[in-house]
Amino acid sequence: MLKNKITGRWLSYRPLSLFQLTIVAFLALVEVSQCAIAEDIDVDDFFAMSPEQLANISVTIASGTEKPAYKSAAVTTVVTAEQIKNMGATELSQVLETVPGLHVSIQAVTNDAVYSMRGMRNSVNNQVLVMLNGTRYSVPYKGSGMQGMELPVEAIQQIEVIRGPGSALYGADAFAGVINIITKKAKDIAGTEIGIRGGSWDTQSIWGMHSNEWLGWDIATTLQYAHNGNDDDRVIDSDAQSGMDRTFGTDVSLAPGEVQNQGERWNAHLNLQRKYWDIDFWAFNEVDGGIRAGTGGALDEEGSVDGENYLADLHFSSEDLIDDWELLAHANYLYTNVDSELHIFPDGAKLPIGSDGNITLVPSQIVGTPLFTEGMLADITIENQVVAFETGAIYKGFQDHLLRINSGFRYEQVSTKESRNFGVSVINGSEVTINGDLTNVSGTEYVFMPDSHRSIWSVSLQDEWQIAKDWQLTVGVRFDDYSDFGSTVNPRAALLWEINQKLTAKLLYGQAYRAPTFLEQKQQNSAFFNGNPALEPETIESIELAFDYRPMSDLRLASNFYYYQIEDLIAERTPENTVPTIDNTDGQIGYGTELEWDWQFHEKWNLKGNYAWQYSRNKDTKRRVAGVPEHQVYVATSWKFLPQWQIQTQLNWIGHRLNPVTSTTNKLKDYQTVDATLNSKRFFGHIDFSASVRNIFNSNGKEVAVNSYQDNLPIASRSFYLETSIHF
Amino acid sequence: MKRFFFILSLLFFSQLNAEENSIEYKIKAGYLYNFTKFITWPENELETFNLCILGKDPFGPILNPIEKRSVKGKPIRLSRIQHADEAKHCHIVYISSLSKAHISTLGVLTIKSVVAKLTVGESKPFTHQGGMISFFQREGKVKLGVNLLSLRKSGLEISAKLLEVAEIYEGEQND
Repeated sequence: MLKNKITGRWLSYRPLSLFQLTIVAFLALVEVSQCAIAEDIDVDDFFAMSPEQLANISVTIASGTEKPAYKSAAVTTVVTAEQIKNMGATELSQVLETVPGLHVSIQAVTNDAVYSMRGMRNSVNNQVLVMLNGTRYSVPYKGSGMQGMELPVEAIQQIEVIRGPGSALYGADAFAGVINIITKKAKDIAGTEIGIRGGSWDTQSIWGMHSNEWLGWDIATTLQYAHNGNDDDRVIDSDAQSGMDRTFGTDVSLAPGEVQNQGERWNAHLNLQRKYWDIDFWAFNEVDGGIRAGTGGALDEEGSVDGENYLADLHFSSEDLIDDWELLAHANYLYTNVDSELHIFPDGAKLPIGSDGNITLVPSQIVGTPLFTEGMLADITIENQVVAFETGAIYKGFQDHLLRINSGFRYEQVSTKESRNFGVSVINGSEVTINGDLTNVSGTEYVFMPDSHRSIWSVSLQDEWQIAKDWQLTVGVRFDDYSDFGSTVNPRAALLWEINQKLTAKLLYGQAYRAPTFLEQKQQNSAFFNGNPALEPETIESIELAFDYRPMSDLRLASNFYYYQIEDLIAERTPENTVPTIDNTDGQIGYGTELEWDWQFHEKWNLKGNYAWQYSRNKDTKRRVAGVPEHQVYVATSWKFLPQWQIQTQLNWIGHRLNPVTSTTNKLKDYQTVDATLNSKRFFGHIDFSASVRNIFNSNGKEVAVNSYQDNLPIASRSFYLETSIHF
Repeated sequence: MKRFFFILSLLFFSQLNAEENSIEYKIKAGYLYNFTKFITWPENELETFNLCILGKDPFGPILNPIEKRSVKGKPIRLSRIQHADEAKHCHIVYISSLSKAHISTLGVLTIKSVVAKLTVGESKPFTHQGGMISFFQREGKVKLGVNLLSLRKSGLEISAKLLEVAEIYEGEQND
């Protein structure tokens, strides 16, 4: 497991989780090589570790060992369960916001989170690969997590983030970065925990975790339920319907109105581990989720989303079975199904309709302005399935080399259902009124996306070469072949130099790609955009120089400088007066730096944080990339005022973003949020307690919205939470 | 020839064991240094912070670099002692499982004397017998056992950071 605590960052893992932690392998392949450990890691490194880190190091060489993050072949950030608690985060996004250079904003249409990194951001959040225990769970139709997916944090043991491209190991979409979420295993739970949380906006959540041993298996189970209502201060003043109201003399817009964030979520994990085997099951269900800011730019109070997500995951490692070899196998199956009932425009809306039955804003194309008595409606079901197999081997027989080979197969499938009261084949614009009767277009050529599937073969090779005692070179390459668009090859190299015990330098080069999604290839009959079957993957090439400096055991400083170039960026092209088409565009160039510090300046005080600066420009428009912060600052101070009590305050500042919505005069202003969390651990030996305030000063920051909003979307307002858990 | 291989494999295994040991003891060394930070030590007049190994020393040279470090401005001094009587000046007394005498010495060590001292031992029974902190292994990892009662008696305050990774033994009120 990777560990990141006050005085340093540390990586280690058990081979059982080798697959599951392919991310760690990427960072630290050589650590499985046995001989050098004792000499490699100086006792001073152990002095610098926290009790938690020490307690997680395996003693036996055969079962793998640890390696500091500064020795990993990438720029990484690790956030541990304890840090998550200390920052008072309740959702994955809140944790990720603290990662250098990562900013969480809002996706178009679904309004889910989008993780922009280093100036890279797109409207569906698929330029960052997100994995659970080393397995991707993005749905193939859009290349990111299921609609409505926001992971609660209680079951998370650790989050590992690679900043920078990682396709040479992970394949598609490890483009701007890789996020691996590691859930709690039996050893992390050690007994039973039950917890509850309550807070603003009718937030209630309850969770239970249990671990035990059964027939030689270490078993861990976690179950969480959460419910929340709408944030009543998160109000949208004016939406697309407001504009329609002005034009057509209606008065039906729901704006000003609250962003519809309410919903219920169930989340369950089951993990079984024993020598050689690691088996995971994950279920996430979203019930009656709100449509947030609306799918088409107009508030929707009546619509709802129900989603289910199931992942089964099996890992095998031969561990010490064969001398010099470790054989690995990994199989997984992902099933997701999202049912959404959308009121794209509210009851009583008069909308300008073209001959294709869709909304059009081009005057010459408007056929009529029918009255939608029950609103513009669509019921959409999207079902995704992914089956994947991977086999691999690590060869440890050479003294200075560690070789790894992997091959994989993945099958991706999506099927859709759609019923609506507008659009191609349903209306033609000449109607005077349109009621709420839906026409089922599922399985016809009029559906928004036909059922689709593709298969992907891959093979990857990597060598980690200890050139000299202080020099290490990692080189790798991966070949992927897609049944739809063809093949892509992505190499990477990392040169690591341990200048002295306190200073490490890394030079990194990598190429990566993002595969076009089914939606980008095949969307049709839409007013928003049409897909393009001829799309090529978008590619990135990056170079990076990184330093890690540990002048004292209580202080760690890290910095990096990167430059990247994106080609064939998949984006909308909007020829005049037509629906946009997705195409490969010129791309973008970006460079920047990230600085981090972690300083335990007093026994009871810690100061950590980071500053990220990036400058990215679109090659085509020569304009700065909009919607991404040029500057980002995160600072956290924690004070352990009593042995079991701690308070942490944190500040996050988002600075200098360009507004992508050129029509609005409102600038995307800089904003900062401040949070404070009070924690007590093992009160009376068994009870944890936590109280937190998020966005204390009720900052009214805005995040980028789709074009149809006249203003951008407000961030969550101030909220309070109380939480307690019992361990026994 | 067979014998040669036998010796070779013996050598190999013993080397492996030595490495495993060295990691285990590096972890323990890491913990010992953490004890200096995460335990509140009462003020005293000694000029050094004294870490004592009582009996057989399982660390070998691994622990020596700890002398380059200090606790609240006092340099850490490492001494290897043979008898409990020599432990008077010690802040931390490490009693290796290899030292047979430790059970009888505990009576001496838990008495609050000039310097508040922390007794650290190997294996869980150590804490059950009145020792304050013990190292033990679970799932191939070195964990801590803590006897809260013994600690309380000694007047030492232990940080939650250590308690988080420890298995707590409340101790028996038998005096």
